[in-house]
Amino acid sequence: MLETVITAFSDALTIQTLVLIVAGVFIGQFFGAIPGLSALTAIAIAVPLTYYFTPVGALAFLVSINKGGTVGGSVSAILMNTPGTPEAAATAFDGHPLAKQGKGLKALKMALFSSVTGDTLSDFVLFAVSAPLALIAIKMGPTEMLSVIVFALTIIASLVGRSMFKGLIAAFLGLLLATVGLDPEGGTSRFIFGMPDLMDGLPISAVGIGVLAMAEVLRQLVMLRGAAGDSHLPLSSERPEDKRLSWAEYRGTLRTILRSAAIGTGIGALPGIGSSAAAFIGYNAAIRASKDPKSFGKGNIEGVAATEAANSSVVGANFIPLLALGIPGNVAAALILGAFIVHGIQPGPHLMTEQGRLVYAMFAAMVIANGTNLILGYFGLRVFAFAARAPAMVVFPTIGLVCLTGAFLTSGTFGLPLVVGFAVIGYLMRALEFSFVTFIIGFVLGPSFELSFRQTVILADGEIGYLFDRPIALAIFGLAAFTLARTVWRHVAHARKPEET
Amino acid sequence: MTQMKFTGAVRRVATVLTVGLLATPAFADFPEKPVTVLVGFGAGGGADTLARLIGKEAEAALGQPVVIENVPGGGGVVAATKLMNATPDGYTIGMAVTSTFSYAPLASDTVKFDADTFDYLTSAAALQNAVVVGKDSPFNTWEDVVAAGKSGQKVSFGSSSPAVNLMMNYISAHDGYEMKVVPTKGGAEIMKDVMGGHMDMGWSAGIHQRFGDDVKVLAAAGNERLVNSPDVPTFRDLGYDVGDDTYFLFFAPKGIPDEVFQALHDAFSAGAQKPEVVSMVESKMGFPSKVLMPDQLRENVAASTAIYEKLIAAAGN
Amino acid sequence: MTLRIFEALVGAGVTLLALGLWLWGIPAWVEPNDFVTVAPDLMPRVAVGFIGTLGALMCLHRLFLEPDRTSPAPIDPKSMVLTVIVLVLFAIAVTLMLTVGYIVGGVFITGALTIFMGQRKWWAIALMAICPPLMLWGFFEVLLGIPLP
Repeated sequence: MLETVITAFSDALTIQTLVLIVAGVFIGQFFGAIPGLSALTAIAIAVPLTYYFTPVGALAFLVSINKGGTVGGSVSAILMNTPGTPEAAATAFDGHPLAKQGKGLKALKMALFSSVTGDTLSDFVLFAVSAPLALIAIKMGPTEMLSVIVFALTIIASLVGRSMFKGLIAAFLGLLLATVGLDPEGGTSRFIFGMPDLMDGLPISAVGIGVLAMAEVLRQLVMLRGAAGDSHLPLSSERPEDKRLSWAEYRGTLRTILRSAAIGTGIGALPGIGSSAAAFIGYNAAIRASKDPKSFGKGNIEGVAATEAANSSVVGANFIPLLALGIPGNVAAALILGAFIVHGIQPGPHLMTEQGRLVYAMFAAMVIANGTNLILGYFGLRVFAFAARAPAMVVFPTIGLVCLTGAFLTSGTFGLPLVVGFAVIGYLMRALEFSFVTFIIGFVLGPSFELSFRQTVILADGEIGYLFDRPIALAIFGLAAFTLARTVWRHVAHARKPEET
Repeated sequence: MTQMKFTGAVRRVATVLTVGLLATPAFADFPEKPVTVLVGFGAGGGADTLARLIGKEAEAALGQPVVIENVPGGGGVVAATKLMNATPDGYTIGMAVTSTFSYAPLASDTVKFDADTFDYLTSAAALQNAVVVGKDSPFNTWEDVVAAGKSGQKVSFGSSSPAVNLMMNYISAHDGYEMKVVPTKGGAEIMKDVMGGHMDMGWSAGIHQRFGDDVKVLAAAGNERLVNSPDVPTFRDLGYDVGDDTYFLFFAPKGIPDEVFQALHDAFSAGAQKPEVVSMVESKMGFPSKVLMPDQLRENVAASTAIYEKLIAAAGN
Repeated sequence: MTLRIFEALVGAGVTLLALGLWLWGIPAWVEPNDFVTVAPDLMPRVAVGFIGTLGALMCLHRLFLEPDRTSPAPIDPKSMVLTVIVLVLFAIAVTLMLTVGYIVGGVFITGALTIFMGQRKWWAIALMAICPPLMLWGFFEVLLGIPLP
């Protein structure tokens, strides 16, 4: 065992692999940090290149891009308020207010440290207990998955914002748009208007870029017109404690980070839920646990830590179903799975016994990549923070173009009109104060929700007894009902009381 | 890494130089610019991998870059629709699977092409369609399933597409029982559900080979037996009049000049037959490498269309 | 107009849209299928049904239960016009990219937005119009060999 680990590290410590890891982390951070692009874009571009690398090198490279992307993603969310992917949307809630207060660097550092901490923890879980966790994943059938998704939806329902009506309308709009495409059971068309491009549904990347990034760019362009020579961000605060992140501050958020890492790891181990839900659940859990819940959304650094630790820990944990069963948890993992297969690595229950050395080398590469992420990120943050201070009339037109480019890279020519269309929807939602968070969550979880619901209905075949044979699912449904009741109760109670703030 | 990143550019410059230097009459003809392959599936999947492997070999043979462009959606339909309207000059071709041309046009009005809209260049590999169960399943042969079905048990079946639903409903109707056909995301998801006992059986396009003894193969869905499970009967062996051979294949819009078509066929089919590609496809991806001629592929698509027409007609009654 | 009335109107509008979708949209755009266990239009109907009901509830809530009766509606005609202008610019850029090419559309959008933002120096506009599209094009098309439109 120990010998295997040592051999594995020596496999991973070749010059080629190290160079690939550093390059991968750099590319991931770079793509993640630019609004409109994401680590996913980078991975999609990189996969074909890796066909010519050694197996260890290829995997190390892709995993490094993925890891770099989770750190980079926080940069555009914090500095620009334009999260490139839904998973970083909650980072902007507190990160951008901090940047507006001149504490951008501090928020970025918090994001970096919590991200790397969460990622490292989930990697160790992957190391240590991936086999038993994969067994749990096998035990989760369609009905169990349905219960987990419903539970996740009810937790996130508490993020509806000020108006419950508007938040829920947005959520159901997301669910509605998620039904576009071919019906999962019969293959008949729904809302595709004769366009084959819509057969697989609205591409999540174009919707994400449109609603989250482009709509914000629109808003900023209009808002900053005239004052365009200035930057949209204030000068970094001169007080040193606003730029630094002290050890005590990190220690103070450690509980939040650990909680979010646990949430992210648990969600990552189950395929089909994904890092966006993990990020919002982690954020929500931090509010619940906080002594001062009202400070969230106005620049509480714990909000940044909670989100980033949760979405980053999904990245490592996603490899649990990927390696043990060959089931990718999200699109990035699906692309990496392709690279596995090209290199003759067949994820599945026998991977460890057949390819143990390679799997450990990949683990080693993951650990090295986490370290690299920390170091490169630490220096890279300053560069990005500096670049973001360029005049608004340089920054926002450029980001607008990058958003279009990113939409094309991920969704083809069809992505271009789509991203503009969804920018309109995102803009209207901002203007009318509809929560785009619940919209995105409804859209992201919609397909899994519908599929597992229909699977459950077909498997149950009209017999209610089917449900009672599944205690795990019943227990989770119970939790969901409890959460929902509590959320509604709080909202009503809160509305009755006169506004305190 | 730097070297890899520049490959695209360097390769182009290099090819332009070589072509310029070696400008003999043979090179002056087709191709004079890069050939684009529209792959009907996303980056990283089986089809994409095959297209890139073979595209690299074809590039050497053609003396021009072969650009792989992923146009995923509708099981190849989006790519085929794009190609339908492309100029038939041989500079844009596509890659999809048999059912893109046989099942998809029958299933939806959105699909504006049919099997005769295209010419088929060459195939790359054959899928290994099979019905599998978990290792603890009480079913050991297909006859066990039929017996359970006839005794009134509604067995559940994890399906990967509506085309599979059609076939399984036809087979169960043939023996006079009903199945619970459950839609899934396909692939490894089905393996998880049969291994975890959530579904009694499931469909596999070849992925079951990765799970070794954790799954049992009950039947093969093609006309020939599975390469890695030669003892398992096909549905035809079992007395059902169905059997669908699915290939990964390269296709092109109709009307390409004969010599251009021949050049493309030679380049891509030779690429698919290269020993390196064959060993990659067979040992690493688990698909038998089968390179068919254009006429054979046309027959394959026609036979597949006939089967789905029959299945759809049967389901309608 | 007060915020209260404005929001009541938004709720009513949402309900009307949902009603239209329920009555005409779903029958027209969702293909029925007799061979499935769960009808294809179930999920769309559930979503549209909830949207409509919630919209109506929101309208009623704002009309009768909303304590805040004074805040003004967030209507700002100037910024609305500006937003429409920016959107039209993006739409033109997308059309240009799809018909003429990436670089033309890119030069148009960054150039037009720079002018929109208030830049009047011709050299600065030219610089902004040319540099970003060219850099992106160079990076993806030339360096990585990914064809842009």
